[in-house]
Amino acid sequence: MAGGAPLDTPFGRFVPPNLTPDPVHGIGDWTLDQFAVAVRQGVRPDGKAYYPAFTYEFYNQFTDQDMADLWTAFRTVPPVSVPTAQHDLNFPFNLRWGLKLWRARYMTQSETTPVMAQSDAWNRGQQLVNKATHCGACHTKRGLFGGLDANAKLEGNTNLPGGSKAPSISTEDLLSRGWTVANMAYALRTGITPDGDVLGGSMAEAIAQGTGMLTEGDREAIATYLLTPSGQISVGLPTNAAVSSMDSMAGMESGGN
Amino acid sequence: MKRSITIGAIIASSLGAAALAHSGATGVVLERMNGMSAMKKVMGELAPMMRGEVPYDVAAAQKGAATIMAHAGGGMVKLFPEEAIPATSYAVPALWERWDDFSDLADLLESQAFGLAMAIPNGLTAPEPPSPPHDMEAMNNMSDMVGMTDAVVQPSQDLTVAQLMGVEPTADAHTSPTVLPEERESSSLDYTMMAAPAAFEMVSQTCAACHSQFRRGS
Repeated sequence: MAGGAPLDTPFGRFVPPNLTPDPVHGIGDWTLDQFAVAVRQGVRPDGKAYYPAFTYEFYNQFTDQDMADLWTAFRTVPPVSVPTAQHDLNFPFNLRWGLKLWRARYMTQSETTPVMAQSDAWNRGQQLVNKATHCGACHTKRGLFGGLDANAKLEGNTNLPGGSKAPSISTEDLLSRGWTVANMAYALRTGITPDGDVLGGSMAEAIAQGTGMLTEGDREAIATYLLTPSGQISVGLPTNAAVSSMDSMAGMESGGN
Repeated sequence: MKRSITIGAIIASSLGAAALAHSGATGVVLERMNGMSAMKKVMGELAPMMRGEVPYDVAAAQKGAATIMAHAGGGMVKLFPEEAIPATSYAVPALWERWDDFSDLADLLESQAFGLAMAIPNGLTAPEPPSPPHDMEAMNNMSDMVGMTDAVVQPSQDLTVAQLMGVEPTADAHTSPTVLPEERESSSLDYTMMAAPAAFEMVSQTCAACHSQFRRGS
């Protein structure tokens, strides 16, 4: 939390800052309100904007409770007194005031309005995919100035930092590649795809540090949301829990014999 | 003569098909890609079995574990001679720059595949821990009760905030791809007391650790 791996992009090198509660080099002297403005609106306590390398676009629908929970969690991290390295950006991207223009033109709002007709799992999945797990940060392509392409949501990005690619995770493409709720929930923990490959690249990190830490229910919710075709109602898809309860019932019957 | 030409043509065309499947890779690159593909096939076949979606087949699973063992460890690293990386290869220079890390992961994969083979007879759930003889009857009766099938070994969901933030290791950190092989306490693992899916997931974590460091793309 005291910094991390730099992100090399066409705009230059971004360096993650110190997020520990150190009062000098970290965020120790911030207030909850300043933290909430930073995370949800992408604005620093000094009023300047963050570069969208910090994926605050995805967090603008976080609730006040979400912010309070996150703040509490961040306060538990041991402080580390290490100064944050400076970004090394190319002109004109090194001019931070330009971000105000960027925000006005490109900043998107994450879609998280609950849909009454959909299942709880679908709605939970929508929250996770479009907010906390920010799948679109990699799986949605970006324009010349790094803005997310709203017309190609989750349709893949062939131009990620470092020259890697993120495949399309649109519903149609996922279904055609053999994904199901069960095997996707499993992949979000183990990295194993339906054809037996084991995901590497930045997705391995997203699994190890992200989706692998979620509950099984949340992983199934992500899969339910991503695999429900637009305009269709998600149904109660079979889950491991349902299977194991059936096994238990079978065991009970044989136990009675 | 005609027959040998026909056979030759069949061999040539099948070699051609294999090479094409890997975008023109040849020689040692094709050989290691074929090894990776064989392991991928095993993972793809065993995953639904480990999730309980298809019938559990001990013999097929054992054969799969043996296939991974054969393509891991020394059998894997010998196929990565230090040479200019051809465009067809997915290997990245870091593989040779951090050869010991790569070699350790290859060895870890071999020992985990062996561990998987030991855990496979246990099926989808971990066996009951051994108990004193006078409890055996009670244990046998209990094994028929509802709820006993839930003993599949899973990473603990009861993580502290510090663990979720990644600043404190979790109880299952020994299986995490972010933990270096030398930090893992693999010697203390008893695969004979492990559910097969747990051993299988450890194999997948080593695949992920290696792919994320030493394979181009995802």
